[in-house]
Amino acid sequence: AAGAAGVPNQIGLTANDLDALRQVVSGNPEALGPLLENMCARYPQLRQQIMSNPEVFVSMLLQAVGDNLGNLMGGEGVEGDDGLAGAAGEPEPAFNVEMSEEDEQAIGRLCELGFERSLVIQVYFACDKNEEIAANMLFTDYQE
Amino acid sequence: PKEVEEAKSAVRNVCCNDEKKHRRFMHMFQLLCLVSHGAVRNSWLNNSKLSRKLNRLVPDKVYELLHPQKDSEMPLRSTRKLLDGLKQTMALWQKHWKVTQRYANGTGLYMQSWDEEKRGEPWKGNFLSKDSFVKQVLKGVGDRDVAAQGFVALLRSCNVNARLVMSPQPCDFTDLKERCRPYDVPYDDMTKYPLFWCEVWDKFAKQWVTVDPVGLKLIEQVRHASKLEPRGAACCRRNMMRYVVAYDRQEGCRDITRRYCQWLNAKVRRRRITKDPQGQEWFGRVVGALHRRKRTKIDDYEDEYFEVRNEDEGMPDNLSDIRNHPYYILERDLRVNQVLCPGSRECGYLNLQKKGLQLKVYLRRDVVDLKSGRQWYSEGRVLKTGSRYLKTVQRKGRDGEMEDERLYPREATELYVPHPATYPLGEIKKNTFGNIEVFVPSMIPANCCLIESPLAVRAAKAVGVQYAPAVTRFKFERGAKAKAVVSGVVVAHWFKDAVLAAIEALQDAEEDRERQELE
Repeated sequence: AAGAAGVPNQIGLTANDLDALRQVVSGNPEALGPLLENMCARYPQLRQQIMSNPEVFVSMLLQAVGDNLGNLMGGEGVEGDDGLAGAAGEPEPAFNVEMSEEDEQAIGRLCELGFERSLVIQVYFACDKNEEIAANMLFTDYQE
Repeated sequence: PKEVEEAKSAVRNVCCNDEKKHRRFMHMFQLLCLVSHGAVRNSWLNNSKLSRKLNRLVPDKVYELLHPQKDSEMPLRSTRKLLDGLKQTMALWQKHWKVTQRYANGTGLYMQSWDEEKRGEPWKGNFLSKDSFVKQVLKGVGDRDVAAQGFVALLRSCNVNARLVMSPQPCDFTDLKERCRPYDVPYDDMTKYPLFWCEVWDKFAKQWVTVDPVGLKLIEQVRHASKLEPRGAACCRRNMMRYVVAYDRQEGCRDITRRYCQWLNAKVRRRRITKDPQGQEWFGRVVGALHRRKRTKIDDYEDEYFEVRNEDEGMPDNLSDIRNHPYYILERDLRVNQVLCPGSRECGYLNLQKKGLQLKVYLRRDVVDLKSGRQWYSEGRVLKTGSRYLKTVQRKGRDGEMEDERLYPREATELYVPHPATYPLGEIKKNTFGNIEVFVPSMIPANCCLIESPLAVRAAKAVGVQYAPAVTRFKFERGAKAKAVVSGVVVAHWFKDAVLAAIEALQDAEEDRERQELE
């Protein structure tokens, strides 16, 4: 997970930590206490960011959480496994969606950016078929 | 002696200042994550599979009740039908929800003490994904929170305007005990009042109807107090209602604590992060970030209702609740630089039986903040000619003797407009010390600019243009009087580039010299 840990995002959390936080927030908020304490200790800048710019943090939390986070996390082992991110969920059912011509083309274009097709499909639908947001997310969170 | 020891440790059982700040921040962090959780769950409820399948649980007869015709003769009859429909839907849900599981970790989302929060184990189990959530709701299996959330999905599947309501329970930042023992509350007491419930828009009465389908199993139209507000010491320990947030089907998000907390302004406010202006702004921004739709007529009706409830709450009947109350103030709590605006009268009395006193209570909006002429000047304002002072206070004068200082309200002042620099020489009007005072940007003459740099004065001199050293603030040194701080210069804006270039040149020269010294 060293590679993933090196990818910074807007709020400076590693992709692994951000995923862990998103999973707890959407699925099991009863586990927030220890996780937040841990994050505060490891990211001293968080305090300032959350106090002065809570909107950024909220949007980071909600990005892609709205839909099919489970699939994103459970499926391909994109992030490798280190503890939290790897502990993700029970096996999810096969990803089964209907795709229109337009979707097909958009996914083709995203693949050309150099991402694996199965990952592209998941991210694309998780982003509610918004190609631009999907591309953005692929680049920020999933670039190896 | 044992008692003395205990008393001592009780006195010492207060956390340090750093810990206090840490708790305040953790409270905010938890709150932010919890209200985000509500938003995520709310968006899950709009899942198409959920609405397709849940819809089948509702027979046509009940569906019709949920969508009554407008009874133009007696709108109340339409409301009755809706309430009846909700009652029947609630019964359906109680039949559908076969297994209400206990919370996996014992306390669910109910409030934890700071010790519990710190000693908490990282989550070991599975994370609930959206798909498993949908499956659970369709099967009717899960804890009471999921059950309440599912009920909202059920109503939405029948095209009812239903909101998910959440009462998040971040740790209490006003609890400053160093050692906060785990709260000892029996499970049944803890879960007596729900953390998730539902609201339905009644378009006939133009109000939100509260439905708690799982915990207390009730429907209510909240007027002065809600049955969902926790009562009793045991119930309140883990369920401290402070923030109640509603999420609607258009992904709107609103703080609706006013509906559920009877004493919001007098008591609950003190435990909310919004008790000070910074916290208020911060929480407003968090809720704003989760609010993803335009304002509607329904919001207007709700705000009107909140307004009425604020009025209805009335005046507190004891001293501690009236301190820092947003609406009321005692005359004796006015600060030195505050007066009641002329002509205002007390709006009520506070009886202190113990002391046999009766204190006058005033409206906080009648309080006027006053400042001396000099204080107003440091905000870039000057007294209007002929303005009257409202109060005098004793202040230490220049020669150390007490003298009267006159205080004025903001209305007695106007914006200070500095003289512009002459053209083309750029001469600037200075004070008796040969400086110009720039405490706020409006104090810079209209055709000038402020250049802040320790080299600014030298640079302006070197260029040879007209300038005025700028006093931007005062330094207060121990024992000494206030000392003016010159942090730059004011020059006419047509000299700006020349002075900036000179500053750069001086900087370069200085760096050169330093380098040479090193070598």
